[in-house]
Amino acid sequence: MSTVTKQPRKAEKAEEKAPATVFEPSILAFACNWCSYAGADLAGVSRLQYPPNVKLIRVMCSGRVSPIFVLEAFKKGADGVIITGCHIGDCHYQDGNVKAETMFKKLAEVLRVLGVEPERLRLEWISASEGQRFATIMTEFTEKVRKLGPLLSPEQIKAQETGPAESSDLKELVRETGVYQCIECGKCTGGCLMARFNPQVSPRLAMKNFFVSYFSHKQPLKLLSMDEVWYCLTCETCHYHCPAGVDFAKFIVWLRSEAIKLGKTGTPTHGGVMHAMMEFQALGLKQNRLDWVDSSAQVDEKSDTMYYVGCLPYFEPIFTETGAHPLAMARNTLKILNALGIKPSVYEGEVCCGHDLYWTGNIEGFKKLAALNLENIQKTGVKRIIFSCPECFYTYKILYPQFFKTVEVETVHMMQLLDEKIKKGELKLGRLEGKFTFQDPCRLGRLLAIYDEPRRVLKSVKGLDLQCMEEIRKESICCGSTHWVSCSSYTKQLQKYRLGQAVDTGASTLLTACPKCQIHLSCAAKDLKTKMKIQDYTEIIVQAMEQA
Amino acid sequence: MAACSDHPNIECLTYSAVREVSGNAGDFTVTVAKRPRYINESLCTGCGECTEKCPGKVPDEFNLGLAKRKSIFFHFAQAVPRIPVIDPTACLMLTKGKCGVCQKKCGAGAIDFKQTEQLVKARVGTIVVATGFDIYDASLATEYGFGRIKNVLSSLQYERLISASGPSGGHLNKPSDGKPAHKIAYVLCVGSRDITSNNYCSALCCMYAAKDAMLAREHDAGSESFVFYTDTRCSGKGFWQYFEKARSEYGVNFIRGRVSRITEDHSGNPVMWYEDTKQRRAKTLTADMVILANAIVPAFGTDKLAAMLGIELDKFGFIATNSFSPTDTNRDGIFVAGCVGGPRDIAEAVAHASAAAARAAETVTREAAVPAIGNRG
Repeated sequence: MSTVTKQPRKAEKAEEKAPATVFEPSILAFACNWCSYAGADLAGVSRLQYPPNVKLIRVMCSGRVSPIFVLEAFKKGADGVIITGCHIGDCHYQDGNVKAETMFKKLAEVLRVLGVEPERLRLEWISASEGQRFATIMTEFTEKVRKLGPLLSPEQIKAQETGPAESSDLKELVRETGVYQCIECGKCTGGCLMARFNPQVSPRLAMKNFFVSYFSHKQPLKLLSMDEVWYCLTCETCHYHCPAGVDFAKFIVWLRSEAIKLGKTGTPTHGGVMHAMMEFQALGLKQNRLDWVDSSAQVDEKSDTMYYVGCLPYFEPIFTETGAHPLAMARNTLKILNALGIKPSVYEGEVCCGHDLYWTGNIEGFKKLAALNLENIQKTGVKRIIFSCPECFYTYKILYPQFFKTVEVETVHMMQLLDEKIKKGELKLGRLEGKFTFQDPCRLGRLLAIYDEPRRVLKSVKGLDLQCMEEIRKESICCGSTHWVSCSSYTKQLQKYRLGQAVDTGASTLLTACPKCQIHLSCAAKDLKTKMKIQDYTEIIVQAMEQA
Repeated sequence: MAACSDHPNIECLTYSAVREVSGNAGDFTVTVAKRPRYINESLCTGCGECTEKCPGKVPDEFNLGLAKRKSIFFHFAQAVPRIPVIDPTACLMLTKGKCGVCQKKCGAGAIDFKQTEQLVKARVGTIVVATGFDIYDASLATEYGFGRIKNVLSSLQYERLISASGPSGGHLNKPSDGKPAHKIAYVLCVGSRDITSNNYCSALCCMYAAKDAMLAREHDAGSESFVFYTDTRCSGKGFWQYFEKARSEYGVNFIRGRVSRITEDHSGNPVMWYEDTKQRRAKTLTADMVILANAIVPAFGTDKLAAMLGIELDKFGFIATNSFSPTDTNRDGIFVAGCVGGPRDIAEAVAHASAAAARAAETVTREAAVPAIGNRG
């Protein structure tokens, strides 16, 4: 009997699958507890029909919807995401929906750059009495997404799955980082910029604890679950201080990669959206990352010199309210390159260099992005890549060759290029009055020992008075975060301390050379209401070029 | 030193440099360049009248820049022989061709601006290299701000400050404003036990830091002393007791932790950033004056000298010796004494020099020579 009933069921299923021409989108809806969810309830009790494609998640407020929720939903296979909340003015928590709206605007822009059609994300206000409205919007949205088709192919979704985590070789780690040579002098902790403000931080103790737990219990589990693993800024101050040559930052990366295998991720800043965004780029969607290149800029797609822009187009919408303009760095760099007679290519297929994923211990994610970038380099056949971001430069120059042995491309940072060209007299700079001070980025400074070039470049501008802060060059102080992890009251204190040093020089403007320094210090300057202006050095160079 | 120069069998060639060495054990010919003092040594009485009237003023090397000296000067108070020297880079007569005040003042008429370098050839049976050491240039360790922060001094500068014959008459005054320093910190292992500079222990610093700290407490009972150490390396008879005495009787604060960096606060006082590894806390300490215990490094020119003598250096640049024959170089008839062979304290250096002298005597009195154990050419 049972076999008889099963047969037609199978047949039915086969029939359902046969006309697969109709695409059934997967829609995720976030509904606020107080209005929209009640609205959905009303639609239900009123027997109003809306497509079953919509999966509803109740949240306490639309303001609770973090951008990472949306990005994760798209990554995991959602074709459309709709956020619903109370009408403006009706929020149960006064202004949660206003926050949701601000977030939505930024996120929509980021998604557009990432290559997700704007129609796939929607924000709607639906009150508890608007059951009909709920049903109509859901139907309408589903149809729209149906027309757009799937966002990711099943292969793309499957490719994100990672295999079982391999256990790392501890002997290899000990040899590479030299942690075993530690003489416990405490020079790392004394110099650690985080330890200045956070008494829990101690690189020396982290290493000691690791060995104690590893060799007595054969499992560094206790340490891996501690916050200590995530406090590190990876600014490498300790590595430079260490008399035994221990590469603590590398050790921390290893610890983090192990912690990730155990499912621990620390506390990423901005709700983890940065890392999700970088992982999103590895999916292979066609991005819209070159909108900023205006008609006045000269680019040549066939040039053998490439300008690697990095994540600046993503940072721009997210950080405009801090007063930072990361994209201005890209525009100015192109202007300077053009003035030098270089017409570089800018590549649409470029993805994030993977710097932040590497330093947060997500080695797999880093490798995926790196492989994509290296493939692109081979495809375009460029001979030289010019970088404006020190982090991208460091990643290409140092990290890529560590993982992939065949990187045959010349890497140049703008500071090196400018220094060389100014020496040869190929760039004419005019006069620019003002008192400035310069923030050494850790990737350009401590990690690559490029200290003199920025100073020579800035001093070549006539009238520019370059003042020195108390701790510069090797002793320079980090802007507070290098890879979007653990922004806390301690990092704010660090930024306040640094800005205080900048104010002490009597300078009116603090010049930065890294988009993160600019973003973080601008954010701190805004919070602290200091008059110190934070500016990217390329702006000064462009201004001086215009004066010539 | 004076006894040495007065000895009938010892000829002292001061203010000189070795130019060439040839020959073998038992018969070396050494060419020594006697640099011009611009003073006739046989006429000079060492009265010092010339040094008082000289108008030139340049930083004094012996006081490590803490005081000024004249262009014609004695290197230091007990210099042997007591004959002054004219600094050819500072003297107005030698640089610009005018002045000559010393010549006018010299009653003996010993000033001779036309003196030139003289080459002296000496035939010797054996050579003992005892050219000493230099201290590590602490300005290379940029994190300590030496040369940038006025109140950060080197250990030798401190020795001159605390010396009664020094530039401040033995008073510990801050170089920034001349006011007495009450809170003094001593930072050990500056440039030693560090793979970025010198990867060996300088051996003396723990002990002399304890001595320095005690001296400061003796000089001013109201002062405070802080010694930052990596490990207390007090190996030797009575050394640990001495160290303990500093702690218990003199109240010197010993803090285990290497100082990470030194910054300057608004009033010009150095601020030390360190971890107190016993309390497991990152801390800061503001002191009036910081003394850096610079590493002992091979003396400038040791490499050139070694090339001239045909002897080997070790990987740190000191002259290479064998553990079983600590005074012997790889060449027969050439011996080492003191810090040119590696960091040594005074007692050890004296014993080492005595051993070298005995080994040298063996070479010249061939009959007594016994083959040494270890490396010999």
